[in-house]
Amino acid sequence: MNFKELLLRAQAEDQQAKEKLLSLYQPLLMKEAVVNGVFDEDVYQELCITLLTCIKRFKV
Amino acid sequence: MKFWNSGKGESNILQNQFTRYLKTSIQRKKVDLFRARSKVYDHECFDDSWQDIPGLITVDVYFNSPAQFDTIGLEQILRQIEKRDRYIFYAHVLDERTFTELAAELGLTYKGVTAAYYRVIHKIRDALRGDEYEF
Repeated sequence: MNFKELLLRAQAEDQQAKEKLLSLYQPLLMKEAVVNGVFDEDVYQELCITLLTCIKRFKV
Repeated sequence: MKFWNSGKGESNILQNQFTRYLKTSIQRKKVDLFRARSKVYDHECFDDSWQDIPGLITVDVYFNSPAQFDTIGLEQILRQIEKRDRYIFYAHVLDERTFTELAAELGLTYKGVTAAYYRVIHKIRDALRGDEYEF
């Protein structure tokens, strides 16, 4: 399955596809959630929500 | 699934676009988050140390040196004002004494005291050219 299919599935509310995308982008989110050299759980959660809204809003 | 793609082919291009889109919105979200956080921190007092914050005028400051305000002009204006009026101003604003009390003390009528007080206020306001302060 390539990325386009995955994204389209996630946009169609496929839970598995969403999880896969989340695990795919997890390293990026983890990296961005580091504040002042400390991993910030709250920021990470917010960024996960951001990812989900991005999936919803992104126009293929 | 590759973490780094060559950027060739529809799917790879799409992935790069999505990643860019995601990165932008992550940055914006973070800016929003930190702004909201700093707003909360600005309004929080965690312990009694707020008394030590420089520039914050507490009651002690008023009583120990009533002529010291952070507005430089205000001190000079107050010096020019008549002694009795200045006393009324200080007593009402800083000591929160009522006009009735002051009137009895100074041998004036209630109206006389209020007139003196508002005269001072008007003088200060005119001198500072600011009318956003309501005393």
